[in-house]
Amino acid sequence: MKFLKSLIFVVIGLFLQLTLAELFRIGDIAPDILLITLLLLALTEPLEYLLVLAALGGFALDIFNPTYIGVSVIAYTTGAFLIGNSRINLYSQTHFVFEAAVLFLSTLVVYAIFAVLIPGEGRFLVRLVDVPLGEAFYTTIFSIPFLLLAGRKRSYAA
Amino acid sequence: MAQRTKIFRKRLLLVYLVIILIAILLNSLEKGTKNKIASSCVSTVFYPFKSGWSMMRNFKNYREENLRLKRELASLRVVVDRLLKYEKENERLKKILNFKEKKGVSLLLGEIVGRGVPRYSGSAVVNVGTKDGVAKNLPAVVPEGLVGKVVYVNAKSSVVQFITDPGFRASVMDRRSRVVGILQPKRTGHLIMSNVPLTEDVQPGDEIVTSGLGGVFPKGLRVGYVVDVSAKPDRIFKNIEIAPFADAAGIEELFILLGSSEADSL
Repeated sequence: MKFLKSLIFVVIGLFLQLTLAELFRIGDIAPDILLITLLLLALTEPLEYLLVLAALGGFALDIFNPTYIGVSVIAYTTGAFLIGNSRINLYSQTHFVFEAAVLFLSTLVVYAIFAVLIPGEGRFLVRLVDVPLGEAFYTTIFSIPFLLLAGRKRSYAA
Repeated sequence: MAQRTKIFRKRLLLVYLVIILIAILLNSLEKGTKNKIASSCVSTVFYPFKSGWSMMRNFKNYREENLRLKRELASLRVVVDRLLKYEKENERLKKILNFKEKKGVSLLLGEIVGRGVPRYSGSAVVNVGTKDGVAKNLPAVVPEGLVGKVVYVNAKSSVVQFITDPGFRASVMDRRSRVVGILQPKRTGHLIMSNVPLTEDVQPGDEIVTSGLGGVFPKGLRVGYVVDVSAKPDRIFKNIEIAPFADAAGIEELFILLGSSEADSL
C-alpha cells in the first residue's frame, strides 16, 4: 500500500515533468520535477522503494525515446542511489539546505550520465558541464519551496 | 547500529546494481525490440492517461459540435416543415390536375389570396379576374364538387361566395329521384335543401347535384349528400340536411368553371 502511494506520487511527478516543467523551460534547461519527487519521497519512504520508483520513472521517460531506452533508468536510479546514500549519511542534519545540496549533486550526476550516454552536438566536456550544471542549479532553486513545505513531514523511514 | 547501516547499504547497493544491469540489458537490445517494448508500454500503461487527456481536450470540441448540431437540427426542421408543406401542396395539385384532365372541361385554376370579404362572410378572394376570362356568377368547383360562385370580378382578382355563405342560394336536385329544391346554408356548416314537398322521395345518403335551373350553375355539379330527412305533419315541406362534399374552409385553390353550361359529366 505504501509502495502504491509512492508510485502514485511518482506518476504525478512524471505528469508534472512532462507538462509543468516545459512551462518553466529556459533554453535547454527545465527543472527536473521527477528528481525533486524522488528527493521528497526519500524523506519518508524506504530507500529500496526509492530505487525501484526511480527506475520505473526513468523507464517511463525512456519509452518516449526508445532508441536510448535504459539510459533514463540508469540516470535516475543512480540519482536516487545518491539521494538514498546521502540520506543515510547527511540527513541527520535535517536542514533543507543539505537536502538542496544533495539534490544539486544528484541532478548534476543524472545529467552528466545523460551527456555521456546520449550522443550530442558540441564538445563533450562542454556538454558534460554546461547542461548538467544549469539543470542542477535550476532544479535546486525550483525545489526550494517544495523542500520547505515538506519540512514538517520528515520521518526518515529506513 | 553501524552493522545495521552497513547491511542496509549493501542491500541498497544490490538493488541498485540489479536495476542498472536490467537497464544496460534493455539498452543493448536491438532497435526493433526496443521500439516494440516502448510501443507496447505506451499502448497498455499510458492508454488510460492518453484517452483521459484526449477526452478532456475534446470536451470543448464536443460542446461546439453539440451547438453546431443543434443549429443544424433547427434549420433542418424548418426545411422538413417546408418539404411537408410542398408534399401536401403537390398532392393537392396532383389531385386537381387529375380532376381537370378527367373532366375535360374548361377550368381556370385560382389561388385563394384572401378570405372573409365584407358583405360575403363565407367568401374568398382568388387571384384570377376578367383578364383570365372570369365573369360574375361563374361556378367555383374543387375536385370534390361545387364550392361556390363568383360574385364580384376585378381585372386580376375576383370574389368567390362559398356555398356555406348565409346569402348563397342554388337550385339543386336529388340525383336518384330527380326531386328539385333550393339549396341554402345552415349555421352548422351543413346545407339545407328547402322547398321539397312532404310527398317527395328524398332519402338519407342520396347525392345532391345542381339542377341547372336558374341559369347560374350547370346541371349535375356535385354538391353533397343527404344526412338527415325530417318531416313534421303540420308543415308542407320536408326538412332535408345535406353535408357538402367540398370543405370551403380548408381549400387553398379552386377552379372557376369557364366553358360549360351543361356539366352533367362533372
